[in-house]
Amino acid sequence: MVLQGQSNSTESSDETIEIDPEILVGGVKVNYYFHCKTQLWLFSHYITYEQESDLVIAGKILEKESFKNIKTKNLLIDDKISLDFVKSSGGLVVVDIKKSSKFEEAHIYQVLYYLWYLKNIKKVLKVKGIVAYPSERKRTEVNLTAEKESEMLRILEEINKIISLPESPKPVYKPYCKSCAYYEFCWV
Amino acid sequence: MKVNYYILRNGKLLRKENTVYFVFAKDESQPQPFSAEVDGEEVEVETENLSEKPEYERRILPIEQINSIFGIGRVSITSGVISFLAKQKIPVHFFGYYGHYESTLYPHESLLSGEMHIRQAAYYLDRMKRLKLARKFVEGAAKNILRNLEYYQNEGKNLNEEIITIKNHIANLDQYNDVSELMAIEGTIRNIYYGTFSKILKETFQFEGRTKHPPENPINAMISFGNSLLYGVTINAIYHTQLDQTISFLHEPSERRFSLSLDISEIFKPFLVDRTIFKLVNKDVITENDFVKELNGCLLNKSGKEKFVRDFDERLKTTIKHRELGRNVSYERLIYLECLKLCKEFLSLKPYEPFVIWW
Ligand code: SF4
Repeated sequence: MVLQGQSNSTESSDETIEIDPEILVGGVKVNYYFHCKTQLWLFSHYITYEQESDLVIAGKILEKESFKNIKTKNLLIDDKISLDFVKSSGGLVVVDIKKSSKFEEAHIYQVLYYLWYLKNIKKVLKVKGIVAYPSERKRTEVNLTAEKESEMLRILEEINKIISLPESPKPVYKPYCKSCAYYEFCWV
Repeated sequence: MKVNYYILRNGKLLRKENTVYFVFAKDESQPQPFSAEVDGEEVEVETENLSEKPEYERRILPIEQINSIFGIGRVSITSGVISFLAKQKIPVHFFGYYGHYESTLYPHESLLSGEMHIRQAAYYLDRMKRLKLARKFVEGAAKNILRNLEYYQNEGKNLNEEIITIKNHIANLDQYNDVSELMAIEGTIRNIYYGTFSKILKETFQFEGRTKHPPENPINAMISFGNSLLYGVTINAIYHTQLDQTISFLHEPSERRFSLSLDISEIFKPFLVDRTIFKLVNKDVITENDFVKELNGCLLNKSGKEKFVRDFDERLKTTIKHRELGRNVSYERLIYLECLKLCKEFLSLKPYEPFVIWW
């Protein structure tokens, strides 16, 4: 592993490290870790709720419509992470298609996790990542730097710590709660 | 927003690929499509191409918009429809001759959570926790009864004495340390409440106390029918959560299969069922002609059931601005929210407080 502070610290090395498979999670959980800890805990205990407002249904239709011209190939790896790939001249690219860039940080880390997973678990190197927002005509490139790589390990440990808490973290009100699937649950 | 679909006629649900039809005889006195009597025995009749015969009519069910189906008439169902509706996660509730709830064709649970299941069961097994919840259900039911009485008190009916007595009962709920005692006090409160019906309702209908199996007069017939509908609606709400339908706290889990619905619907009866009855009677919507009186009972006839269902369903769809959520929710959604509140109690996120009409 490349140590922080080294001159090439923005470039990830080709070495991979030994990972305890117990700490691996689905990519959505990495996203939820950034979005909300309550959501992460509930989701991890299979407590999910269907959103039924007309707005959301409209959103889903829109999503399908605007993404159908991006040709991706879906892969489920180790029954754990579900990836969408596109082939490009520069090699393999993991692409995650999202509706809006409102939670870009969470999206970026979700893709970073895929890259980290491919590198450290599947020993697949030199993969690029992209978060695409077709409705905004925006794409964000994601690179697994050495710094991000060690951060990812810390994030995974954090996620596991939260999931194994005996009780769900109490909801904390955030401006985006209103558009969250758990809104009714958290605030009733 | 998905809706409940009520079938009042006798007929049969058929499926052709991804479409479900309800087929029924245009003339109700004619033999129904699903069966015929041959030598005193009921036999299946040929259903192939039934819907093309001129004496039958068919309606397409808008499956994507249906939350659940209420088979109030004699509805029969084919295995093709059963598997299709199950896949679409649409429960079908069946009701008997007297308008009583009979059974539910229940799709697979799609929201199972071991965590929630264990926690709900633990509440049942812990005597004090079970008692606490049972008390909350009685309290919620009683407070909503009180809201109805206070409404009519304001309308000029003299219900002072009953209101005071029920308030005393609510204040004393903490004294009872046994679920069966709570059940008994629930019954007592209900009897006081039913005793006021003669003052609340127009004189056209006499009530004379609660009778079931079968109900003896129109008011009882409406209470039974309304409670049965509410029972089905509550099963739907629970279905959309991780809660286990069979683990209940006030009612004994062995009493009926889906007994959690009995607990939760207790809270909503005064608000959703009784208010429907008060309105239908006091506004002369329902009359003597909407009932069939038999030797040993009384039931709503088809027009009566139709009037009842119409008002009940309108009520379910009525919306109110929710105080905590700050958004409009339908009365039906309030039942779902009640389930979420129970989930939160089990997860130690927030102590459960029952719904009480706040407006
Ligand atoms: S509603 Fe808010 S607190 Fe609840 S899970 Fe969603 S983001 Fe978290």
